[in-house]
Amino acid sequence: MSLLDVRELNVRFDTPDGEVHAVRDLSFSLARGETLGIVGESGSGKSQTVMSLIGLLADNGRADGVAELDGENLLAMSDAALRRVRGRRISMIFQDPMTSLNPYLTVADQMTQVVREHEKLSRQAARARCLELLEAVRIPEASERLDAYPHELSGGMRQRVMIAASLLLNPEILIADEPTTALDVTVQAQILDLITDLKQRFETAIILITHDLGIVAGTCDRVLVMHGGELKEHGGVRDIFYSPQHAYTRGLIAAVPRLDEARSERLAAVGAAGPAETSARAAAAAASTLLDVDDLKVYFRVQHGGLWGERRDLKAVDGMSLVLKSGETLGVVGESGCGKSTLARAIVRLVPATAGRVCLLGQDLATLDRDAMRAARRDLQVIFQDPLASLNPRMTVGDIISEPLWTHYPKLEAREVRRRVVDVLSRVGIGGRELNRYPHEFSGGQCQRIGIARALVLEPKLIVCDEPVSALDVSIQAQIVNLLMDLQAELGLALIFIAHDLAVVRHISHRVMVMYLGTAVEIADRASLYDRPSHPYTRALISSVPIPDPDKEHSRSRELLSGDLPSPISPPSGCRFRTRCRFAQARCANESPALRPLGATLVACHFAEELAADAARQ
Amino acid sequence: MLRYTLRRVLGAIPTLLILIALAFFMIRLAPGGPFDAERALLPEIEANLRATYHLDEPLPMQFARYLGGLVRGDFGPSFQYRDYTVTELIMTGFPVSLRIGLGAMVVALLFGVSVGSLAALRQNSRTDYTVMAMSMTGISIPNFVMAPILILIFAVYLGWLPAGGLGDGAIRNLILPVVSLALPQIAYIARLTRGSMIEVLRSPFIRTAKAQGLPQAKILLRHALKPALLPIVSYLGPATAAVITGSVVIEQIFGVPGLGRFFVQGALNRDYTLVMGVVVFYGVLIVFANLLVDLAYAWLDPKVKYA
Repeated sequence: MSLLDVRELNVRFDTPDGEVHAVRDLSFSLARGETLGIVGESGSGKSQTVMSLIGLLADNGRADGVAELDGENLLAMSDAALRRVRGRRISMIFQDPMTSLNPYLTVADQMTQVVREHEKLSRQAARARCLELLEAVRIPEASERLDAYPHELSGGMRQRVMIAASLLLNPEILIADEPTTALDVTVQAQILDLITDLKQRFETAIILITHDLGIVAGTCDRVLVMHGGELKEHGGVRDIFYSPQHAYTRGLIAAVPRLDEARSERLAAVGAAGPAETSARAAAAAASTLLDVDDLKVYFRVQHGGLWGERRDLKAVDGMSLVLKSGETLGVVGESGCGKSTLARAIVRLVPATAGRVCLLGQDLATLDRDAMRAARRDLQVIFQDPLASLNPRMTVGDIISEPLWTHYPKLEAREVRRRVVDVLSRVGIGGRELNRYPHEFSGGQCQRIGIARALVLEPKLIVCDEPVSALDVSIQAQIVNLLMDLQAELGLALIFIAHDLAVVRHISHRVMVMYLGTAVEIADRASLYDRPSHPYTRALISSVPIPDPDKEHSRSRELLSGDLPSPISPPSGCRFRTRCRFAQARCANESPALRPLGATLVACHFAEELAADAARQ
Repeated sequence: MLRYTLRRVLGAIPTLLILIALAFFMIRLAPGGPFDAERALLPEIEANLRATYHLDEPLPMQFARYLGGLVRGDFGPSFQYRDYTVTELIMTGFPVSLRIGLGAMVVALLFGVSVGSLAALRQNSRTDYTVMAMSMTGISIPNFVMAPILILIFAVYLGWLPAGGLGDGAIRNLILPVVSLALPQIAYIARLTRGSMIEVLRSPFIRTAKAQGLPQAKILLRHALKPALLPIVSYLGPATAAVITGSVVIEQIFGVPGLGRFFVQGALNRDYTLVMGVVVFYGVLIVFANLLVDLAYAWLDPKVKYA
């Protein structure tokens, strides 16, 4: 008999706009010790499904149907009975470890109260149990962490604490709702590895909710694919990946940019038409140097240790050089906190550079006065990460896009402005009738298209894209990436594409730069970087990315990085990566490696040649 | 912590100096003087008096003399209550004011926080709307209107409580002044609590606590109360100032012999030293209250650390 048996589950929400039917007639079961993946995009009802099981729907939500845990219907239970199930028999971990832990209580406080709520244990015994679990989730110096506050821990450590807290009472079911979405790939790999390991040790059944098919491939036994509140497909993980039955599943799998695949020209877009067919890619080879960044440094003064503390430099970008040709795409990857967004902002002079030069078409931007800089900005545009937040909510789409035109060409006729605005909107796939609507009336993907239109309307030569697709669903992500590639082909744009998703970067970039703690550790063309990564950090980064292919995922060997990114306020001496590097030697602590050529690649590692030779032998 | 406190105290000195200077010169700008009476004094007597109190010296000189006195902890003699020093007057008035003011703050906190939390828990219910409507009324009605209404109801019509005066100093004499002083604060704190509590209850860590099977009461007390109280703690600094200014009016209405009354009487009589003494005393009190607020904040919020 299965542990959890869900039949005909329906979840509805009463909203001012009428009833929203979030989950429709969903049936599934979960066996003991099994890992079930629920995959879907935002709005698919995957989170509401599990929230309804433990009675945590929002106040305006109701669930009906049957959800039997060992024969007891969870949906018919009293509040008090359900409370005894939560945390003890079914526990949960959430997406964002930054906000899911109470910032005002110590780790021990939040953990012991869970134990003592469900079991009669002394304070000491509860504390001992917590310590045991913190050690089980491999938290170093666990006994000291017990009295720490969440903000004193890194994101990965906090998610470990969440996991430890959820396993305190040895639950039969662990629900993990996007447990690694807010984390870097390297930390994600550590956490997934941990979950798989704990599952065997504690014999817990897991429901893993995710939008990432790579994670599903590596960790799940069976998969539910949901879309628009309905179950689209249900099957073993290999069936789903190798013989998907439903068109939606096939579309979803095709839309994911893959790390293990030679690049295709376009990503499949799910459900929606992309922009019109395009001409061939503009010839990048003959192009001249557009952007030349030389030894760029951006330091921030920070207070160390509270009010009136010692002031020190946070070296966000510490001596970076790069060259970009027109029509070329440079991908920039690295963990959060590595300085990639600061680099983007310094290039467009949204933050002042501390030292170094940024030259656009041979012109040093730092030497320009206000008017000259404004003129230069015509060629230099930005697209931001959060599509909705980067559009002014009080301005119509027409106003948003015409504003740059009015700023740079104040004498332009109103009719001409309108013509250009409509023209650029149609280029990004938005009709001219939408001109008078406000940003909140559009979806995330459409907002990002509007952001792109705003950047395009001045016909720039370079667009800096700061994580432009990170906040979007997989299928929308594919549309935006395709759009950017098409626009580049048509207009000969140069792009700096910043992302933490290595697969997306692989898909869109000609060359890729890997950043670590404010410095570039490797720059190479796409093929060599992904096929023959030279720097140990690049290797670890690539091996951390889950591949949406169950067989490959289970057979590949991993180079897991241990620990977290060190503080950029006091980076390690010598090679900054040495504290997490498997190959580090004494020399690495004393001598900082310079970026130097190795074949066609630029790499900053003392032992790049030896590592390359080793890799070739294997 | 100790270093921080010391630094804050030293940092308050320039603020207090500006306050003292402003008060000192402004009261001198007011027409009239401390010895004006209905029956004019003989010129020789007045000159004598002025010389005794150094009022014949140039103003900057007087200011320097006053500051010198302050440094030694001497507020000087009262010009009006001739047998008393200002220090003595403050020491008789302050305990009364403190009882009323502190009482009002405690009542405001207890009622404001609990009523506000209740409204937050039953958001958009009839309870919520009632609480919010009443607190809007409480904020809108000034205390010099509220106090007479309260006197009318509870002293005149019902006869439950005395209409004014301190009587023998029993609690029942303090109830009306404390309540009229506290009402606007209860209203404001209730609104503040409701807002911050609603926000805290929506945060993901509350969802975590629910998913861990904690009962509602424990979630509220252990998880939500502390973060929800932070804005209220910040407000306690300005609240102290509001209660002090409020007490000036309230003590006058209820005829309570507190510091506020001395302040009003002193200003009317051009009792320079008394007014100055009360201003300095209030200034120090408010600086001190704000320091306490900041220390309480650090104690509540683990992310704030003073070194």
